[in-house]
Amino acid sequence: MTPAGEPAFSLRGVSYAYAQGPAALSEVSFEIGRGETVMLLGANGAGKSTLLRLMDVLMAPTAGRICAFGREVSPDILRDAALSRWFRSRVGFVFQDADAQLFSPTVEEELMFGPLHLGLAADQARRRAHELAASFDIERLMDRAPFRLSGGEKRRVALACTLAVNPGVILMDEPTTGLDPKSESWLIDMLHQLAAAGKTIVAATHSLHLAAEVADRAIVLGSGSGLVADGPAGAILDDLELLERANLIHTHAHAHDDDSHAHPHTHAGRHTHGEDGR
Amino acid sequence: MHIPDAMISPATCAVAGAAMAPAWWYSARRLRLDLDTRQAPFLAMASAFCFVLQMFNVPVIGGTTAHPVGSVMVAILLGPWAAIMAASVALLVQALFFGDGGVLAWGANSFTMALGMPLVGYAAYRAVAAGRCSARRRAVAAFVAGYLGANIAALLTAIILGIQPAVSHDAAGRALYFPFDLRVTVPALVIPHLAVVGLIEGAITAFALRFAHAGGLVGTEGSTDAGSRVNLKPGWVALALLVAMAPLGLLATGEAWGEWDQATLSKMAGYTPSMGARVEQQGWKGFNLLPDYNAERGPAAYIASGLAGGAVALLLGLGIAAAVGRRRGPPPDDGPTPPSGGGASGTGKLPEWLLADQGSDDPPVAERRRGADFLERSLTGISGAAADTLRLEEWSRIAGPVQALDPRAKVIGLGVLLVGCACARSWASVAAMAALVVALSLLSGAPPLRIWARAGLGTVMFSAAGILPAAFSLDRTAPALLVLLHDPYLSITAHGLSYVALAGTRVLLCLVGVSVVVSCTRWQLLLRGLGALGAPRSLTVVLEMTYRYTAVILATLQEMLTARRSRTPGTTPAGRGRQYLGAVAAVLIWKSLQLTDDIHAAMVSRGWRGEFVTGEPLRLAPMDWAWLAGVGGATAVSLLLGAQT
Repeated sequence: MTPAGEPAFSLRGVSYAYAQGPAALSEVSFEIGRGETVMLLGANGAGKSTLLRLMDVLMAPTAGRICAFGREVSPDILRDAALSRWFRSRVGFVFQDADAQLFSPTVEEELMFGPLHLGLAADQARRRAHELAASFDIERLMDRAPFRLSGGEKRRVALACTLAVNPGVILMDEPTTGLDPKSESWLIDMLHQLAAAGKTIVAATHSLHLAAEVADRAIVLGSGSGLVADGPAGAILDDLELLERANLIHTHAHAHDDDSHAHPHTHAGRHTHGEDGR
Repeated sequence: MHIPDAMISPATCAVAGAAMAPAWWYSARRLRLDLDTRQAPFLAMASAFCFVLQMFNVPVIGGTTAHPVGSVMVAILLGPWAAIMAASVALLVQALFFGDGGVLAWGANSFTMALGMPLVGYAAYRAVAAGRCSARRRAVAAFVAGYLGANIAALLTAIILGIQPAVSHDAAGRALYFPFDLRVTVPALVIPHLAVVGLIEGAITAFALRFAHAGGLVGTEGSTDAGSRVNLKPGWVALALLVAMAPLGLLATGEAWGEWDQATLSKMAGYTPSMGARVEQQGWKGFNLLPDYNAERGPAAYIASGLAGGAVALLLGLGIAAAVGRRRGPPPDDGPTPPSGGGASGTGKLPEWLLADQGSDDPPVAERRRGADFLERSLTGISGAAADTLRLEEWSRIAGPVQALDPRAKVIGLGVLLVGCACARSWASVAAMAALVVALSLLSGAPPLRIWARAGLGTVMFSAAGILPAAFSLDRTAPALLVLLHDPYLSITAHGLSYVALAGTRVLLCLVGVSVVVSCTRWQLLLRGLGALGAPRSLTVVLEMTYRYTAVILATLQEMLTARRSRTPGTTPAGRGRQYLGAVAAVLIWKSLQLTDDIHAAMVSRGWRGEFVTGEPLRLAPMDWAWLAGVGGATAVSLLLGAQT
């Protein structure tokens, strides 16, 4: 069992640089408490995906330490079968590209993949798969090949197959990309339910709308790939100057009645007008 | 260039498979497949890529089409060991799902296209593009590599086919499998490759490499990963050993072709031909293709009959292709070039030409209907193949008796069935095997007509050019049924025709057998069967993923081709089409590699540690024993009846 008081994740001075490339992340430190819903905000290329992959121990940081539930983790440490099983059954990752995530011949096998590989018996894994399918409304897809599904269906299956191992921490990379408004609101509902059930959720996004809807806390990565802000989601989403600096909002023209004007503009579901507001 | 089942003797297949075994073992070790799970998706992507590339049909002189193999390109980009594995897996998937190349002949096809071709191509590339060199030189090197690789593959194929009359023939010296000897197969296969197909492989390799470099995919050494540090020496030693092991090694010993005694023959082929002793007594009659008299006219006559046979095959092919429009459209119009410098385009400011009025939106008067160019035909072919694969998956979900068989029993049974079909040397034995195959196709629950039509098309497409010419030239002593051009060499004989019918039926039965068993088994179960029977995990894992990735790459490819079509008015001239093909190939491999990383990460993230767990136990039921007994019985009958003739 993991020590109860430890944070789900704790990062100390984590940096990452791709071979021969500029630093993708530099000196990032933060802790994520259990049950928190945290949005990693940042423009394209700010290093959000890299950070998530480091947290899921899919790559090793070039510098710094990552601890999960109080124990240090790294690809090397997870070579141990027992530690690997421990970590993988506690942390799930929903990838940005559903095509990459869905590799099994059928949706049913996709849902059973995680449980089977983490040691569940086949009939238990199948029961889990069907229960999840029922609550995700994907039962009719069970015999279909994942690569033949529509974009929205793929997303549902991808989330479901991550949840199949019942992880305490769910990492998500751009969960709303390509979702239509109805699927997006379904996802937001689902995240609320998961958060209410005590799951820790860490999602990378540049959708301020999603952040405003579900996040307790927001961490902003700047264009320099360092951490520029960390705090309650409400306060950060209201700090327009900060958001514009992080390239999350922009000044653009839009129409009001017959006129048009330009000002910093978010798509967070509320439309704030600065001093020139009309 | 893919050799189908029943076209070469089972013994040759066994020898070729045995020759490939060390190559597979060594490259799997070099790639650290057992240690590093990261390599599995990586290789699967390369195989899927080879597989898709083999579906591009490029027009060649004379109206036929050829397709690139891609193994040289994979060798240059990812290293020769990756190429050996990737191309072998691609060939197996081709054989199992598309009937292109045989299952028993997998080893032989791998030997030519997955071993000889990438090794020679890679060595050529390294020789020409040694050290740091210009992009132009690398492109030239890639061209040379692709050209040589394709020709080596053709030569090896020609040799494997050409030794068939020598290694398996009946008492009268008539060929039991492929009927033409080296004097026919070498020119027939190598000349088109020297003249056309090699050039295409070379051009595509060069273009793809150029784009890969432009995209930053490869370093200056021309190889990512293990490639740049590869020491080819063990590869050459292995290849030399294999050549020595293969029957062909004895060609160099200076014995006159066709004058071997039985001991040499058995040594060469690794088995003793059952009729060898009688041949010994009666004297060797050559291959009965080249009559003793008038020997100097022989080779020309063979080539002539080969061409005639090719023409017949082409006509058949054209008939099939008639469904697809082949008319050439008007020459392409590059479209208006956007005027450059029309207003400084600062960020957010649109250039003026974009804002200007386009003029009338009225459609012009139609000129001529646009014909389909070869890219469109490729696209059609690829969509068709993808649809086919998907339909196969549906068949595997029908609740039929064939589907319910244990996968191990299926794999063993399929092997026995293929040997039985391949060994069917008389009509009686063919009938025994046909009864089994018909029963199998009826029991599958899949539409039997569709299965047979599909296999029939495959037989015509992949084997007709090889088999049909035999109608002209098998047995000179038999009375001619039809003499063309008053030339005794161009006469169709009853024996020739019966050979064509027998050989064609054998190929067809093999294709139907493979098609039914494979399409009625879920891919993962089939692989579990293979694994339970001792196939190395590295192979089954890569195969499993290849199949999935193929679908993903095909979808990407289709999107790319469609996107291109939406931007291209008119048709593309062949030259530019080939250039585009190279670019597509490079983008595909690049995207493939990117996806590989992601998929591997996704699998690891959900607890994969290099082994697939399916959770369902395998159990042999009475049905499975019945199936094994049926296949074994039919094959035994086939062998017995075959031996009597």
